[in-house]
Amino acid sequence: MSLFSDDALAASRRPVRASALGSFAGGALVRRSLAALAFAASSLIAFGAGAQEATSSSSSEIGESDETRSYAVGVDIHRPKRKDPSEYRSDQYVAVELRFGPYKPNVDDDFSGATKPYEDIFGDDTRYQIGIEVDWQALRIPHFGSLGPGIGYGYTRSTAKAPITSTGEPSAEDTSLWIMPMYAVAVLRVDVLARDFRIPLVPYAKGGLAYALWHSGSEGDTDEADGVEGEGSETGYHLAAGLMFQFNVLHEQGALDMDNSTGINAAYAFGEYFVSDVNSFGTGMQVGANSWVVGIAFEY
Amino acid sequence: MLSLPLLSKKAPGRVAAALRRAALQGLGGALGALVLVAPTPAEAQSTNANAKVELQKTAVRFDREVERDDAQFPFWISRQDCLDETKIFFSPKVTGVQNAQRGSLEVWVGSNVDCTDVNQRTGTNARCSKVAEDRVPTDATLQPIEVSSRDVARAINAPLGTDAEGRGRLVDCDAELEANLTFYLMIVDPGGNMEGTPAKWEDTQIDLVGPPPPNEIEAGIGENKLILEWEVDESDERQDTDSWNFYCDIATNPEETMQGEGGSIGVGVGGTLGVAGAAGAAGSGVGIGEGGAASISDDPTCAPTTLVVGKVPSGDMRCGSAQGLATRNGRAQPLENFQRYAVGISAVDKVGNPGVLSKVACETPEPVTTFFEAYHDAGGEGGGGFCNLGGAPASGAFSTVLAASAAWLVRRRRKRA
Repeated sequence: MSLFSDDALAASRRPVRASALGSFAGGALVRRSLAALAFAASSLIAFGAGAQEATSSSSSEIGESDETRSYAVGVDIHRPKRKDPSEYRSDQYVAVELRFGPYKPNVDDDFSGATKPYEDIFGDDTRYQIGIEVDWQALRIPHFGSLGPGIGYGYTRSTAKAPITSTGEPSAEDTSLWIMPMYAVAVLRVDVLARDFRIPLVPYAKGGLAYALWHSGSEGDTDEADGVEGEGSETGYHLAAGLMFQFNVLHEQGALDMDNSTGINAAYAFGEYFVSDVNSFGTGMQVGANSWVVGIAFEY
Repeated sequence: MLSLPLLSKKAPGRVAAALRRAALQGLGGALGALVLVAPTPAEAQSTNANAKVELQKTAVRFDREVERDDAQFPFWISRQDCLDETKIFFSPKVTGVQNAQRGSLEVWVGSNVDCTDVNQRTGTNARCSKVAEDRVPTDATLQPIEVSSRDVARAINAPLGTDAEGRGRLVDCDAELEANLTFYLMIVDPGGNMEGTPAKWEDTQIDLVGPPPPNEIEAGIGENKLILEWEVDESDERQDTDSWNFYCDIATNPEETMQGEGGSIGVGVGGTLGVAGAAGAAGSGVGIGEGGAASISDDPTCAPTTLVVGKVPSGDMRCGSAQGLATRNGRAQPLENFQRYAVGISAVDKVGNPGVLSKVACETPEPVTTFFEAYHDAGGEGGGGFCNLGGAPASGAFSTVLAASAAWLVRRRRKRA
């Protein structure tokens, strides 16, 4: 803001009505004195207003006349517009998710209900998976969201007592199946609500290829049947949709401080439903699942 | 001048004079020789009072077929060392010796006793024993002195001061012997007194005793194996248990044995396996002592054929092991399906001493159905190894897509650069 704004100068150049005293004093001398006094007063007030704005805005510069108003006697004081806090955030490239949820592989789906080897051995007890996903937000679509690739990794294990072949009664020997589901997906996050409208919800969708390792055995041994090893790898596809809740809106200044100190732009809690079909397109064991996960996510 | 008939002045003539001269010369020569051989007065009074015996840790070595690592206390004498008569080699450095002919370099051992005290080495109250002896070295280099672990065990079990009966007591390496040892390497004069400064070695203990056995043994069915679980009495649990050994034997049924046709039943005493009487056709010679059945197994129908509960078992019958003080389960394998076994457990301490055998548990291994067997038997097509990507066309498409994605990413990064 100019110390001597146009309005202040214009105001100072406006003819000042001479008071009775000025008239009584008579003459040009009095008029000029009063004019100078008015200009000085208006300038002083304008300077004070400019100093206040300079302390409230770190990026304000002298000369931005569209964001400020002049101050002069008789003119309304207008509070300068505050900067959008999001403009102080660091650049954002990556999202990381920590994931947890139930996982029941659809092994029995391959048998059309005629037999259910997974359920017969492991029963209906719920097993869980833990996982992690890293997404690169390669493309930012202004006022919409981000799009980019992501990779995910998970782990789940089912264990039960193997039944005695002759009687079906549970033996003392364990049998287990562990699965490592992985995927490479395209991730579309729609964060316009959070960014532009301060609504802390970010819906997203994912889709891509899946790959999983699995192993059946116990205590380091690998099961075998008719010479076939009880372990393998499968391919397939993975689809997911979810909703994230952004914590930044709960404490914006705290979020900015976190960004300044750690580089984390935003933190979320999320819930997601996924569908995965991972049986090497019908030629392997179906180790995919249809389930949900919850977790926390961070954007850097 | 000695007065001898040969030297008498009455001997006639020149012969007598010649003989006299020869005798005198011979006597003089003999006296001279004695002077040369005999110590000088100074030498006769010199001792090894300034001698010093030093022993570094690197100068002690145990000669074992199988070395023990640092976690297994390699300087301790174990039961196996006693059985093998493992040799301990000390290579001390000795300096300041003034009279190597005087006395000997001796190795004494005691437990919580100062063997530099002559009263601990001699007399009826002596608690130290000599386990090795060698000449006093003339320089700082010395051949290693060899000590037998079995001799050390005998010495500690029946120290020198013990009466003849005690010294003759047999140490069969199954003695319950645990003690801190101190070896003294010292120069001892002919009178049995120590000279100079001895070396002490305190890093060796003797431990011939294994930990107590576990209890509440349970055996579960597995395929070609038995799954074992056990508990440990907290009051007996020792911190030096390092692992558990499992021992398998063909099981017998004492109740069936006792019902042999036409035979009488032998009854032992004290709860151990007694000697059966003349059992009938069904008898196998296994009798049950009074109260013995309960001390063998919690199952009255379960007993081993050869294993002896309460004794350190033979390694030939070992059928598995488990590591860790806190471990409470393990596998006994490989076993035959449909054969009933009696299985017992002994705890093993850090130096490898096995404890006595626990009570036994009996069970019969049987085939089980694992998940993959159930899946495969139902017609499942998966499996065959991690490298077996099911379906060549599908795997090819997957690989193609992955490769294309990677290529796109690389191209994009190059554009940015």
